[in-house]
Amino acid sequence: MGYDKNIPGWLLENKQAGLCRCGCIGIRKKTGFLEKTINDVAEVLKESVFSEQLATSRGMLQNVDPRFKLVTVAYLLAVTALVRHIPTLVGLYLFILMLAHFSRVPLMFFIKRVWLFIPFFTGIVVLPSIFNFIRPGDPLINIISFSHPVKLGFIRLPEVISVTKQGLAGAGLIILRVGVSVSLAVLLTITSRWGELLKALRVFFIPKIFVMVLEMTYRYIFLLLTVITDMFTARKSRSIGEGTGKESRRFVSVGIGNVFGKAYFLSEEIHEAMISRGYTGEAKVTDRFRIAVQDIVWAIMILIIGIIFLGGDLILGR
Amino acid sequence: MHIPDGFLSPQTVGTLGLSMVPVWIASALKTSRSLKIRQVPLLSLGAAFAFVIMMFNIPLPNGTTLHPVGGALIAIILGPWAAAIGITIALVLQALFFGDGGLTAIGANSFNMAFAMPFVSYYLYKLISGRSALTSPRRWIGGALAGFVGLNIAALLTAVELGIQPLLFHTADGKALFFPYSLAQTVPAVSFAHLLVGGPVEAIVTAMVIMYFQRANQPMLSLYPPGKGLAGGPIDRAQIRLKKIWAGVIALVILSPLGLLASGTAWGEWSPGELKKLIGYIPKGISEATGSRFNVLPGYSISGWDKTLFHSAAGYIVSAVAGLGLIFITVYLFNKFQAKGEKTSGIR
Amino acid sequence: MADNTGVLEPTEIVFELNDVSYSYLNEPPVLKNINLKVHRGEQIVILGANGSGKSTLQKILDGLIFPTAGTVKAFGCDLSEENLNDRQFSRDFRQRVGFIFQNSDAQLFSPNVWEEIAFGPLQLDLPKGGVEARVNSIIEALGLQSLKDRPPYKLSGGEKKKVAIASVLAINPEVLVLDEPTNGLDPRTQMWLVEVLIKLHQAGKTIITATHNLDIVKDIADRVIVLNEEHVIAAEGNSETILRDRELLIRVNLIGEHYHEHRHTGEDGHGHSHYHHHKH
Repeated sequence: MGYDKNIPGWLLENKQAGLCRCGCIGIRKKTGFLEKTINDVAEVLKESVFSEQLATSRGMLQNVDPRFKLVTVAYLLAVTALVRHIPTLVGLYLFILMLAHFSRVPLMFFIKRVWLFIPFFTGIVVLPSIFNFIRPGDPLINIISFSHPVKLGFIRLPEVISVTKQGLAGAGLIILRVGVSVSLAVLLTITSRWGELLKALRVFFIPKIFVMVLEMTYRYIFLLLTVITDMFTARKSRSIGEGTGKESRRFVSVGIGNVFGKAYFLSEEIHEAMISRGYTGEAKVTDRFRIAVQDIVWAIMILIIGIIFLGGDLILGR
Repeated sequence: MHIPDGFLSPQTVGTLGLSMVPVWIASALKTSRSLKIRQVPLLSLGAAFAFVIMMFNIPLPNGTTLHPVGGALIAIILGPWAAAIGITIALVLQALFFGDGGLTAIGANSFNMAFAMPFVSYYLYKLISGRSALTSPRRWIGGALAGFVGLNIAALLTAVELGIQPLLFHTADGKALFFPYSLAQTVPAVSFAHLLVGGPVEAIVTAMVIMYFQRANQPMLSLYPPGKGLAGGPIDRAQIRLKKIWAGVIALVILSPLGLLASGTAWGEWSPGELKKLIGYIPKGISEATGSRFNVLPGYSISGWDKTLFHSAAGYIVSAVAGLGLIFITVYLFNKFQAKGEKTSGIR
Repeated sequence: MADNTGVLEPTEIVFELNDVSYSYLNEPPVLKNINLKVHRGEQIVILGANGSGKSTLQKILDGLIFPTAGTVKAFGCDLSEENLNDRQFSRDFRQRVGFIFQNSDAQLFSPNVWEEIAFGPLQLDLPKGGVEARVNSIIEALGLQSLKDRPPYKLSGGEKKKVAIASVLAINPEVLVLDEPTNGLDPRTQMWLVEVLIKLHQAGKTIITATHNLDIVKDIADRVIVLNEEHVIAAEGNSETILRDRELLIRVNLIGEHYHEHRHTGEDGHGHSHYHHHKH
């Protein structure tokens, strides 16, 4: 079995393609789907590493039992959803910032993380609603005045286009509420180790079997992400240019099919590995949680604070 | 299509979440019967795949990229029940760890993407592919249509859920409390994008992956419904129980719009806005009067904003500072207390 | 040794295979007419090229798949699907036989190292304190303290294999089945692994390793079983004899012709291992 005989001749030749910066042809490609995918995956991986670091530092929220933390954050999310006034939401946000501070979360990072991302989604979505032609209301600032209603094709514009009081207040309310909710969610996840957080989900009567599935899912997401990165990196290193759209779509589809097939095969192997160690289909989840006095104090404190915010909001009117 | 926190009212979120409960229970029972001991690893890997499929970016003709949702593909390969659980779990993880979709909106997002999309897609695929051979073009044509329709149904539901918010929840003077656009604005905007771009991408990806399986990995196409090797026994009581759960699901789906209305009114019972909707038009004066009568501290309400601006603003500031101050002191003291106790966290 | 609390009695013959064949649905067989006896406390190596059926044979030994023809006995009892559906039997069997998979990623399915190691003992219903004590002692014995809270995807290949071994040893099985354990390991971890296996053998464990890594065979095998690419047992004997039979090793595709020269240089030297991998 001489391997040498089987190696095709062309593989043994050492012809090299001329290395050249893209600049010399004058074409530089924009970030394509390969880079986009590779970057997206890298982003997810980076994110998880960073939050794991914060989660293991010793701050206020890190020290609260994950189950108490989960329930109290859910409660605060409900408070946020029920509150109807901007000042209450501002108060809630300041309170969250304080929690973040005591949990050793860098405030600038925390604020940026939430508010850099919100304008792109909520902000843009909500923006048009401040104008009277989308939602009628009391004018606050008049932008354009026509002498009569204007028709642009099928769009009808009123005589005066203005920013309305209601529109502005409504938009502000939504943006703030989304911001506060996202801040709470971010605070919860960056101050908790994910494994503990998933286990803590059992306080919501989520069956053990689901907790087990959740844990296993999280674990294998990272494996599949590595598979994807390898696949796209390999393709990137092999390809000259991006190829045609049709060919790229084919590559992606084959990739998806491939990863799906791998995932299925792996699930069979895991199944065997579990049986081999005595698994009988009955989920047994370890939890090493211990309740301390401070957890109860924490829960009572958050309960009262929530009521204060709700009460304050009621005072502001319905 | 992931609805973030804060867009939907708690009532909407609650109703949709509740209507998902029987779906989740039925899926759990169904998969535990058909997959048995394989349930955990298969659902886990299915969910992991549901998560990562959104990482695949597809180049579009105009130079931008878009990722598929994958609900149809997963439902076709693993069956709608496993897909319901897998996608729910992917959504939970996305919301918890990656800020994609809201924590409070998990019920709503699951309803659209983990329930409506896989079930619609699967049965449409079944309808078109029928008992055709694994290599038949009917398979990938069915996949394409399933992807297109499934995604658009999910998008439509999302649009409706968002669009009913201003109808149900706004203040007396027309300020939207949650998502601000009406049905007439939301539905066309969301549907347009999905009919034109998202749907076709989903259709192409689903079809092409099925074609790939036809070429290279045919067993993947016969995983669901499980054959004799994998599946559980004949029809028995458990299946009848499932039918009952199904009836419950359908009833809830039909009832949920009613629930939205009912609960919306219940919460806002003091609000002139809700009254207006129920009774009809209320003249401005009356509405203002009722508004102030029901306020705990008349004059501090938004409706009195114009007249007593300074007065009320000062009132707000004083009470807000006092309230917040109290809260901050409490939290500060808790932090001190915790530092003194300094236990080695809740774990180990 | 293992805590023999179950129904299965300690026997001199651990496994007995009679005319075992196996084929996946509608495909040509991957194992043909295998006859094999494994004695208590033996160290066996199953040698064979890729695709010769080593993994399948080991999965049959671990009761993960069942032969399409022939019979398997484990500890004197039939190792059949029916018997393994019996709770008592399966728990007892799983406790006695540990399997280390080739693919560590399939074997490490838990969220972190600690829980991975605790999985086996938990399934076997050890009391809560017992599980904790056992996991912690295994972690200490294999020096994994620093990895305890790590998720599996943050482990190197070598670390993964160590954790996989720890997770199986935590059940304290009397038979250890290993599938290609040295694949992808650096030489140092390979050495570590061989030492662990030698120690376990000295402690009386039965060890069945499938490999095509000839370097480690001598250290971990009293007896070698060679599978050829026709999926039958081509030879059986002590490691010395088998390793010296170059014709055989070439015939079953384990080594290539060009190993010839290197073999002599190896012998001229210290003669420790005849088949070191040589790079050109």
